[in-house]
Amino acid sequence: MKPFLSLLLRLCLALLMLFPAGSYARASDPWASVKQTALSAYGPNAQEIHQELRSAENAGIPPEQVMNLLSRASGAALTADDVARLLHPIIRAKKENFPSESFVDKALEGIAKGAPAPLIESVLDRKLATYGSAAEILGKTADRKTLEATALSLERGVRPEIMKEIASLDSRSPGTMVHASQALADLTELGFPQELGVKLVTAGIQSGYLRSESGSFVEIAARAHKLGYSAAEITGAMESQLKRGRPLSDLLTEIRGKAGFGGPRSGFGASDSSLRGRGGQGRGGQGR
Amino acid sequence: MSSEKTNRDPSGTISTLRSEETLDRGDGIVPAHGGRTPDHDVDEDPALASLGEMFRSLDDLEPPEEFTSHVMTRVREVQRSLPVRLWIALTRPRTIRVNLAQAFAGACIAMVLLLVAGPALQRVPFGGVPASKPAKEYLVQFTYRDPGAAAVYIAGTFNQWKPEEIPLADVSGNGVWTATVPLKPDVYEYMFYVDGHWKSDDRAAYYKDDGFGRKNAVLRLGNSHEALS
Amino acid sequence: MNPTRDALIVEDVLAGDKEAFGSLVHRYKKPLYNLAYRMTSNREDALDLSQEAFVRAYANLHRFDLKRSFFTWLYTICLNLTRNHLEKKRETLLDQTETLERQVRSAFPPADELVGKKQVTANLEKALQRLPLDLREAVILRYLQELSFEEITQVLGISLSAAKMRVYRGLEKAREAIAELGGKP
Repeated sequence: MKPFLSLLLRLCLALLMLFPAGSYARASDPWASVKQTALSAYGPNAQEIHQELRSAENAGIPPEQVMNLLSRASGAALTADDVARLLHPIIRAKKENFPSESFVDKALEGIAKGAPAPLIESVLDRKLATYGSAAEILGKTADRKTLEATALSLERGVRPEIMKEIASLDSRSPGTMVHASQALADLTELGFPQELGVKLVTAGIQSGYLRSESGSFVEIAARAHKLGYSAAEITGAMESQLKRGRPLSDLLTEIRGKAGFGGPRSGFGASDSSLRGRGGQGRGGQGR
Repeated sequence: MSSEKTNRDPSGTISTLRSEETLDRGDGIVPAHGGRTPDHDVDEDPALASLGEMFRSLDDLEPPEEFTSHVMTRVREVQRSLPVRLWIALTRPRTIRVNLAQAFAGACIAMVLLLVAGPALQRVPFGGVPASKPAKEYLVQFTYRDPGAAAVYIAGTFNQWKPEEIPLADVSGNGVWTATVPLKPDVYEYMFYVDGHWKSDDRAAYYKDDGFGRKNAVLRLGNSHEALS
Repeated sequence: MNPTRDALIVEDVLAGDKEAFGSLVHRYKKPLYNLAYRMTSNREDALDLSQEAFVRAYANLHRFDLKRSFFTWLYTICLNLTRNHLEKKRETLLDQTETLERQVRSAFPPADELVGKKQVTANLEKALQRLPLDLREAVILRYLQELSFEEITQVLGISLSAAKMRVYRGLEKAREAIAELGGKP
């Protein structure tokens, strides 16, 4: 009886000692839940993504992102092999120090829109290449928002050499590159030749614009564009306003006046006006 | 591992070490004669040099995403004492020159102010800068017009493209569907999900090709750089 | 003076713009976190120490000499914190931690080991942990943080020849440690 009690006591002690260690390991390993989710979603086929899950873990991708991808993919009837295809570019992105969240979001977008896995994979590959270009333009010290804004502008059609020109400007405000790249993409979408767009944005940065936002800067160009002014005319007018140290808002007031928006006219006389002639031309009307 | 690995400012200058900054770490190592190459040059021992290269190849870890926000939360709580703030105000570089006499006079005035109005001054943020920026949030109203639609949703990067999470309502029954969504300053992409089909917002200011054959609307709110911290 | 970008940001922070400090945190969080991780070999400690280093840097920013480089100053703060932490930990917690980690490891082998992580990498990491603190710092700064010897002298506050000596002796000792571990350097 005595040896039995002793054995029982030892077993209890061993269990007590193991319990905190086991809890510690489980609590500190959210990847166990990810693997469990993969197993319940794909059964024995989960083996096909086991290696990818390990790579994702080693690359430092937050487990909740992978968990989200797994549950949405299995909900959309994607196979384990499909999930592996989607994870490859995401892991590569993380290894390149790009924000994995943007890539996971893109994969989720593809899944939501019912795109086949090979198409989503190729979209992610393109995104990776774009981020690579953005990182090359900015250097590896760029913060996440600047990198994302630069990549977004490249995706919206701004040429890398144009972005490089903006990135090379010495700017003290960390937000400037974000707003400058947004402004460039917007101007490109408005139909501005990029050479003029970069000239305008450069002049804006040098005069202290685009540090905290890009909306009003682009709005002036957009409104003038709607009135029928050419990109060259708009660039010239805005540059001359900046060179004279006058606020661009004066130009906006002037444009509003010419478009009949009812805003107060600027104090500029016709001879001093940066935008001449053409009031009332073009499409006019309210902005979108 | 590239030279950029450490994320350092390449333009960082190297200033001369001042004598009071030199710490005697007790290793008994006497500096070599000026300009003389020290004997302990790793490059002269190929085995050691290759070991160094192997150390160089060890991978870096990525700090957690919330690293900066955690640090900044703590930084915002740091309150500099009034003497330190005065010291900073008096010593930080300015475009105007302040000579010693002016600085001394300024310090005297500041001391008098401190004695007379110290408690009141402490309640006012120095330089008028608020202790922390308020977290802005925008209420964005999305509108979709389709009198024939039965169910309209909005989805985008703000909700990880969950198609049926944010419904729009046709309150007046005239085919104008609306939803108001609170969003933080950032850049978002979105589309409408109408009766099981994805539709672009044809009234958006800007667009982006989504890569899947459609156009996402691009919505920019406030200063997206605010989202940094 | 030709102020660096960091110095300009420091000026902004001292002028009252607390949020500008965020861009310095962004820029240096990764090297600082890795510096603390390689010193402690513990992710949680590395996170605490590197974050604390930033907070201390902010609190003492008025003492920063704008003519110096910001990151070497930051590294010095982080290494001082790490040294204190390791010395304290060695006295009190080392045995307990090792026991706990051994138990956890045997119950739940890390994914790395499951896929057969290269023995060489494991040996390098172990060898690094066996180095005395001063030599470990030197090797980490030189090879993992890729600092120049001049920068190491600034961070550690030692002479150029002492910096070279520490790196040399650090590698020698690491080689011995790897041999003891039964691996090839």
